[in-house]
Amino acid sequence: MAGPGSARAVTSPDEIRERVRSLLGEAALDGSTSDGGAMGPVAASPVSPQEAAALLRLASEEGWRVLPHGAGVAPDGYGAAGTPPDLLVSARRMAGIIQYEPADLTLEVGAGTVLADLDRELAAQGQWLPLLPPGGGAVTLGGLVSMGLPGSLAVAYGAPRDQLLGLTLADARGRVLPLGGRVVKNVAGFDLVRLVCGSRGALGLICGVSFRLHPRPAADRTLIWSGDEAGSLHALGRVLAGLPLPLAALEIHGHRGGELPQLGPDGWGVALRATGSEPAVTRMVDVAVDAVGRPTRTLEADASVRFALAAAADEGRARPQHRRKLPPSDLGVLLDRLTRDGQEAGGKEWGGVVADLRSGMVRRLRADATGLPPLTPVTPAVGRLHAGLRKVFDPMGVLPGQWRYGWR
Amino acid sequence: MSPAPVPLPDDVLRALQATVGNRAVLSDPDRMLVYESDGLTQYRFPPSAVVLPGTAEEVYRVVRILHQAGLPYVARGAGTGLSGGALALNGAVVVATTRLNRILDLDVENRRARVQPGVINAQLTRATAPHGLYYAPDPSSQSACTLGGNVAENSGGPHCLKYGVTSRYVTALTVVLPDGELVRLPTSDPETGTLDLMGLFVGSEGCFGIVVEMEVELLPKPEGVRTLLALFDSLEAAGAAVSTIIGRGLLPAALEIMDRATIEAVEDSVFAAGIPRDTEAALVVEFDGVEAGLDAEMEEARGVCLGSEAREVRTASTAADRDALWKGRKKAFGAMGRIAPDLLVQDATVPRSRLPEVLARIGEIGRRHRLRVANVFHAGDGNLHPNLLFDRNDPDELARVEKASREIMSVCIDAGGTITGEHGVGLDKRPYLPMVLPPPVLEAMGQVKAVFDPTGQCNPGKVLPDEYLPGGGLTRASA
Ligand SMILES: Cc1cc2nc3c(=O)[nH]c(=O)nc-3n(C[C@H](O)[C@H](O)[C@H](O)COP(=O)(O)OP(=O)(O)OC[C@H]3O[C@@H](n4cnc5c(N)ncnc54)[C@H](O)[C@@H]3O)c2cc1C
Repeated sequence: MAGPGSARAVTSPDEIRERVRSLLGEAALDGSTSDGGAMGPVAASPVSPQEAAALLRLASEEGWRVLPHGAGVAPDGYGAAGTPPDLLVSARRMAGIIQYEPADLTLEVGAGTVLADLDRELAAQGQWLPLLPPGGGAVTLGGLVSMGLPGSLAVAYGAPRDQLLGLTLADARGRVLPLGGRVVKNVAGFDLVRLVCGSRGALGLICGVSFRLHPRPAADRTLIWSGDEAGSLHALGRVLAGLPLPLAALEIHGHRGGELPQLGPDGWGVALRATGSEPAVTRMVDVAVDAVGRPTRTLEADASVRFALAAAADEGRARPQHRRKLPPSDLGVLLDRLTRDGQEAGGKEWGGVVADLRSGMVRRLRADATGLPPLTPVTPAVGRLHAGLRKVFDPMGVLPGQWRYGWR
Repeated sequence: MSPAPVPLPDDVLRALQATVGNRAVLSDPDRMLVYESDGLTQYRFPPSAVVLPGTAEEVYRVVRILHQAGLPYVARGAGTGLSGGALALNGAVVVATTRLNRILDLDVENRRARVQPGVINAQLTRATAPHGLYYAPDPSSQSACTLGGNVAENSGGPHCLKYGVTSRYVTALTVVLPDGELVRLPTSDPETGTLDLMGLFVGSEGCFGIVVEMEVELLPKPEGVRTLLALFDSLEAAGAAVSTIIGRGLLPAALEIMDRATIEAVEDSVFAAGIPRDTEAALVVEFDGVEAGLDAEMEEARGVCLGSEAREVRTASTAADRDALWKGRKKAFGAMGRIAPDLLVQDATVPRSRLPEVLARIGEIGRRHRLRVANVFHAGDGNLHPNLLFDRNDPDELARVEKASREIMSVCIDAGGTITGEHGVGLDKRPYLPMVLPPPVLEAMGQVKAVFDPTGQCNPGKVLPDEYLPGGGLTRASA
């Protein structure tokens, strides 16, 4: 990959720290990572998009490798693979609500805002941001958007890209780019918001984000059908997925007992979550039970929320992990293959799996990619588009994507 | 306004004919007449030729030929676009998707359809209905507009309030890039390191290439639907009812408003929907979902409307009764076409809570410029459509339409809104774009456009002002 490879001028951490200090002042330097010793990357937290842009421009001029980061709970990081960065830049100090109009059901917050904190503020107004990314409530909104990963609620409410109205990006050219807006429909110009969502730091530091909100559901119920065998559970899940019900979530969990005791002793279960008005939730549950029989366990209200959060939090911790999207009807074959392989391997190092029964999004947790469908190769034409787009925001190649850091 | 048609160089014409067949290349000015304009009726731009490819492969070969010849071209669906996106500027060759109109695969279990871009929006919903499925984005033009056009504009519709716009339902896109390369666009994937190029492409208004195949997600039809029509003595009261409904935590599938000028036009037409002509605003509220609880939501919405001084509330639960309540709203554009020679359908979004005040200011702008303004819009999304009625043969009136449009745009921007919610920038809103986007953003968008289309041949003269387009905008390169 292009970027600041072998030819770059190496600057010592002390020198970088000094340059950052003189640009943004002492307050911008985070003490915490200097514990990692003199060799650890310098960590800085600009307080505004303008500061972030100035810092990224300096890094570009100097050829420092920069890793934008949120709360550090996303399932990738420089530590696992690839080259360590010279500078960590976080939106930590850009936290809190910038604008919140409950009557408009829209919200703009600093990218450093932690999801769980935001959720408390929204709950006070009876509103909700229905996103449950890997990492659960601990993620920052900037990190969530940067990763762009759909969670268990994505089929019902949309992935981050669908709920996002706008964001402010500081890019490595030193530009502050306010993209999108705060209104719920907006097609003024090309959709750079969606390009940045899920770009994992490759295009700059996300400093602020705005979202559309939903009314907090009056009722929230999760039904769990536990089992010990992938095949029959998948068959049950497939019936549920075929029902014409606007369910909030419908996933099959495999071998996650330790992390999610609600699934029962074998750690296998289908979890159906219904949200909405009390009569609507009751009706959805009744239809589901009529179709497949009584669940092993029903989680009401807070218990339903806690299960979903715990599942998301565990997914954030699980390393390594792999994601694939396949037609939902193919999930049964895949799950059978994974369990068969697992039994052959003695079941010990098997890890876990979770799959969305309606979108076909599979997450293989704490395991390698054995048995999963191969990744879609990046064709040369697509590779050229990527290289071109990265250069638009990062001409010197200082951001991840132009130098390698890993998912695994 | 309409430049003389530029004939295509003979060798290019012959190459195109050899690729798609003689009958699928139009170059006779008479036969190309319908391709001179689109839903933005005040403009006419004659193309130098119209090509109608029959396969994705043909699209790719046509684009290659035009790319190599250095000629501009523009994709065209049904031509219902309201911002002039499909207009053939600089004598561009029109690449029409009319013949690419097949539903390639309907996967009922996985609720997906693979289609060609020329499939009409409503055609897909009709084809999926027997399986209890439908395609959610429902632009009011759905009986005519194409799915490819919907992707290009990231179109919305009345039910996007609850269900979201086109980008949420597109699950795969295969496109011909401006240099003639056929690619399937990736989404964001941490393992392959790809970005959401598919998301970026949706809403690119035909400027990043031509969609040749797409896959969309379908939804199961809701178990129950309830519709309500509330009539008000002021537009502000209707706007207030919308805010209260949203504020109460109800999430209707649709919340649509028509004002008095629109109601009069509808009632004077063959589409008369039985709304008293002195009604200042009619609000359609629709709820859908599982049966249980719908009646309660409906009752609450009815209470809100009556509390906001609705003079009458009609409700419907059968399909036939619902159609009657929707009739006025659905036929509004058609009816307006009958009361003025030309109609400029404006499109802007404001925060929902600012609707009443913005509507009042739009009314004032219309009066000041002596223009008839008829409002019919997606109120729940804050997505306004002030329609300006005029006669394009009256230059003074046309000038007033342009002035009023600009003023309406600034009112919406001042209220925290934007200049287009769903119809796109196209040609019409290009001059207004710098009112909402600062120079660095316009610059970045121009750079992104240049990544896809470095020579600026693909849909020239659209979206971005010339100074931000690759090469400063394209002037006809060869010929
Ligand atoms: C009465 C009426 C009501 C309307 N209501 C709504 C509404 O409720 N919501 C809404 O969002 N819009 C609405 N519209 C606007 C319009 O119908 C939409 O923008 C629609 O998506 C355009 O589709 P089309 O096939 O007509 O595209 P065209 O007008 O032919 O083209 C529009 C743009 O798409 C590009 N394009 C077309 N096909 C392709 C392709 N295959 N690949 C790449 N680019 C392509 C063109 O180059 C052009 O830039 C309405 C229009 C009318 C006339």
